[in-house]
Amino acid sequence: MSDTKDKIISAAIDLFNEQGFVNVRLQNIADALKISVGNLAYHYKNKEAIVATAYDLIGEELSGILSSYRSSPDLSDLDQQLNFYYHFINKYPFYFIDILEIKRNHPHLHEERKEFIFKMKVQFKKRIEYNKSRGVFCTQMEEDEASQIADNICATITFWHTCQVIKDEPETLTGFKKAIWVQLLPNLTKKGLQEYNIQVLSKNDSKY
Amino acid sequence: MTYKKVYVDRKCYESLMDGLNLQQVVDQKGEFTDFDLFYSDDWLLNSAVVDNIIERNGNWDIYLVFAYVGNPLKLIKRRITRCITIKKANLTANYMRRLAAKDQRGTLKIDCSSFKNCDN
Repeated sequence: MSDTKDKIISAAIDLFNEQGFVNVRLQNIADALKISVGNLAYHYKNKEAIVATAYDLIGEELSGILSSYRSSPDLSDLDQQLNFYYHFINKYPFYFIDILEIKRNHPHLHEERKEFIFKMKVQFKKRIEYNKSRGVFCTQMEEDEASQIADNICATITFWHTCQVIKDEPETLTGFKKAIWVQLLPNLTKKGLQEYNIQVLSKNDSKY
Repeated sequence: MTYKKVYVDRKCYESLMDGLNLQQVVDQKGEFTDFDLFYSDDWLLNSAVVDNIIERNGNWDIYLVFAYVGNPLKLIKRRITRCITIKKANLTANYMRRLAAKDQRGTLKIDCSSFKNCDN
């Protein structure tokens, strides 16, 4: 991608984050870059094209996060992935806040999101199953239960930022991770709790 | 240049994740039977030996196939040596087989029906 195209996408994402996805027009993006709308239209025909490119970029980043699955065989792997999710949420808040607007206006982009959400859920579910086999999670946990927990975690990741904005509360990394870990902690075994203390808590400043 | 996006099938993705889980080495206490692979070779004493000559790169490789008399599906195949002519290979293979076999006259046979092959 050319430099100008990069700048346009970067400015568009900033504006989407600040003003909301539906409120941004081509004129706003052109103003932010101090170029004419005609010049902007030379690179991207319409807002659709800008959004599609921005979504490609976001998709690449999400794929990168998903590929960090099982980078280490303990709980620190999950904690590390949560760090990535947090930074992703802060980088592209509009992706989460304007979720329904995107679904209404760009259904094909929403289909892509659904694939990512599915992969996210499968990863959490398989991670729970893996840790169950290691004796870190309770073995009494049913498959349905693991699937439900994975669903809840995905919902937390998707809507956590929106909730913080509604409540006017700061979006801290500690708060984000706490929201996820509290759903997993009751299912940890004694061995799991020990591992959690060593692998997760010792590497973070505060307790979740 | 535009690329067409390709999505992995959902079931396939789930099985990939399962595969990744299996890749990780989990510390588990092993069983002594795990070592059977290394020392349980008694059956070789009671095996029928068949020689097998295969041409490769202008030479003739001699293989010996050791099959357990009790269960012909339990077999191993090893390359023994290599000869430059088929005549020499046949002779060598015969000697090798007689050296390796339990009964040198070759009376110990494998029952081919034990393989239960389907001709269809």
